Amino acid sequence: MDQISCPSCGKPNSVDNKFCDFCLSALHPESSGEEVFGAPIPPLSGENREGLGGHESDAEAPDWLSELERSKEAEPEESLGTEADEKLPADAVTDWMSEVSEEDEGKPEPDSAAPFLPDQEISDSQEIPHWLNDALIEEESPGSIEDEDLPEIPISSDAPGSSLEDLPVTPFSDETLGDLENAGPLAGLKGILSAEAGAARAKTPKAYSSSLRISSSQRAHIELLTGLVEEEGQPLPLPERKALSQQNVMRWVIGLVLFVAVLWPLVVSSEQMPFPVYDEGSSEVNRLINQLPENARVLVGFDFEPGLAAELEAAADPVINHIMDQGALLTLISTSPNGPILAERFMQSTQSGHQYINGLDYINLGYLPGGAAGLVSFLDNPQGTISFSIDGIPLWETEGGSNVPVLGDIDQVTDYEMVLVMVDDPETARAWIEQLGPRLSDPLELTSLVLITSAQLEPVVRPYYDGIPQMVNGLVVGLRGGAAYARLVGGEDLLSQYWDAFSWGTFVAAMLILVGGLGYYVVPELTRTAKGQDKVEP
Amino acid sequence: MSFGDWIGAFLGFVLTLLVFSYLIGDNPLFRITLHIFIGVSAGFAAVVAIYNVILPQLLEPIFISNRNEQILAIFPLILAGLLITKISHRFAFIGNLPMSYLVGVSAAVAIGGAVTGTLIPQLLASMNLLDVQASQVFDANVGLRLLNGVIILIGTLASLAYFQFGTLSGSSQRNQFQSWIEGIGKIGQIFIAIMFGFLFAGIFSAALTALIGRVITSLDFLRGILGLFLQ
Repeated sequence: MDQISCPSCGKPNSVDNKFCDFCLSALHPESSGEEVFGAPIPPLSGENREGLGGHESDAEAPDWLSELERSKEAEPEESLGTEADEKLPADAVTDWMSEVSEEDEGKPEPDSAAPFLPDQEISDSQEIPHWLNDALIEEESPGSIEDEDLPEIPISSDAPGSSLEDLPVTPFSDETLGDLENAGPLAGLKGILSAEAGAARAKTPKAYSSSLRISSSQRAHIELLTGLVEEEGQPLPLPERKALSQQNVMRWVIGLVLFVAVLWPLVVSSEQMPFPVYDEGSSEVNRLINQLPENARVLVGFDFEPGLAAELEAAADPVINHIMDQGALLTLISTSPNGPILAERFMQSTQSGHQYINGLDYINLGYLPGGAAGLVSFLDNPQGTISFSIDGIPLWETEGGSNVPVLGDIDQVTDYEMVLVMVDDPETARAWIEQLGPRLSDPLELTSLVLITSAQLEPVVRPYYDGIPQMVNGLVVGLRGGAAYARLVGGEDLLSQYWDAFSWGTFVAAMLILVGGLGYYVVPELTRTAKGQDKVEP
Repeated sequence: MSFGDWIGAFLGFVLTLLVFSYLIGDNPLFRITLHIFIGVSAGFAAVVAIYNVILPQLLEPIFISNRNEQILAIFPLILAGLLITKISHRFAFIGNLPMSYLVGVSAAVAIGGAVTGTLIPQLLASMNLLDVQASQVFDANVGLRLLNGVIILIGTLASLAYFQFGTLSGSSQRNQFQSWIEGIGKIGQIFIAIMFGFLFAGIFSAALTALIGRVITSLDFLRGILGLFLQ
């Protein structure tokens, strides 16, 4: 292919090129812009015309451009806007534009808000420009058309936008091109970016305000957000408590009524309430104790907390009293740390009349650690589990037995005639029953298991007593069980104090529950009925 | 009464009044009493553990007993020492050995006891409720015992039905079986309500007895004081 060197940069270009591929300079200075693009080049000033190879004179400019320039000179202020378009010469408006404008004048303006649906067909009355018609015909052709199959559509000079005439033209001027370069290799050229202007000039940086420019509404939003965030970190004040709320009044009234019901029988010592006639569990315990041989050995577990000591001591008092009357030897033990001291207190306060001697008639083994595991160890091997009593007395110094008469030749729990446990905790009660019960299930074993429990524990231990096989041989439950036992064997001194107050307290509590329940259900119903009648009467 | 008894009775009386002050609402006096109770309980438990467990059952066998007991006592001493490392984050893993031993032994004892002491005996007891021959052995009134057994059987099944929860399978409509289960569950609800009433009555009885005990103690103290002044 023939090549031609660029007169400006000297690089080779194809002969067919009008302009250089590298510097865009005209390769043929004699050729005009109209010949290249088919469109006129905007008029330039004299210097630029020379530098860019523009028109040499106005005589070479097309007529329409000359007219336009003249009209601009006449009316320079109306060169922009739609008015200028209306005053374009008739030659400047293409045919298709004039057709469209004529049709638009005769037809009503279509609703711009109505959307054009894809399925909507174009009516025959609507005339379509031929260039758009060609495009629609291509779209209606069946089958997908690959890009590579598309024929190359030549750009027609008739189509709008296909020629440089329709492109927006920004005229160059001296002001837009900038100052003339005076020095260096680019001397004589305009529009050169200055390399030293910014760097050489030492300017003091402009001072900017650090305050945020915000509107009043933005400031209000910021203050609102800040307030919300700060409120999250601040504790809310507690609601003011009413000193005389309904709940407080009810609490005081109920407490006062119960307190009076309990206090009055204790003050007057009336002893009017009879003891319960019969209780099956207590009667069974009584039978078992009556069958104890002389100097029988009884293991007594003190597994309750001080809070329920009053109930359990009152319930156990007649039972232990009866056992001591039978001359049994007692071994006291506890799986609770508080148990040993409660056992000592019980023996000294309620059973002081029997004059049992520590170490001779009873022994306190103290605290048995380990929970259920410790209990299993003690039941199977007492000698290997506890070596000293709570008083520090060595228990098993004699070969094959104990030097303490109470313990004798105790090797395992089945050597006791009876195991009696005073308990207030469901888990502890279950541990005793579950670990000891299977060891006593053998019919040849004569050891019996008796429980003295708090009233709140009865639902847990009752099935072990009522069931067949029977895991618990005797059961004394709460103050009622103790009172029933006291009625059988006598010794009603301690229980008589409790029983009157207990009976009155229970009766008053039952009445309070009944009255409260009636008030809760009946009063709202009566109020609702009264309101309904009031509405009907007028 | 000795002087110590008087001091003890006076402290008991004052602390009882402080606890009763809860009637007017939560207050500092009540909280002080609670703190005293917790502190005294913890201190007493520590004293018991030292004088009833650590000294006689751990240290004395090592320093006083024969060689066999000394060797046997070393193992729990080592395990106890390892357990102390649990207080350090860095060496806490060393305490896992005694901890695993404790947990394993406790679980084995608890599960074994529950199976042989509760599960099997209670299953047998439930089955024996309707055994006429066994009822004749234990109770002369067979009819009453059988009626009791029937009620317990119904209560057991109905309560289990109440705790039968499930999702609708396949079709969104509940089938006849689920409707039956819900109906039986309503009966179980009645039995459960009776049980809760039973529990409440027991707890109230225990609390009322404790109140009576404190009132009796306080009255005894006041009568003793009055007796001193009247003498």
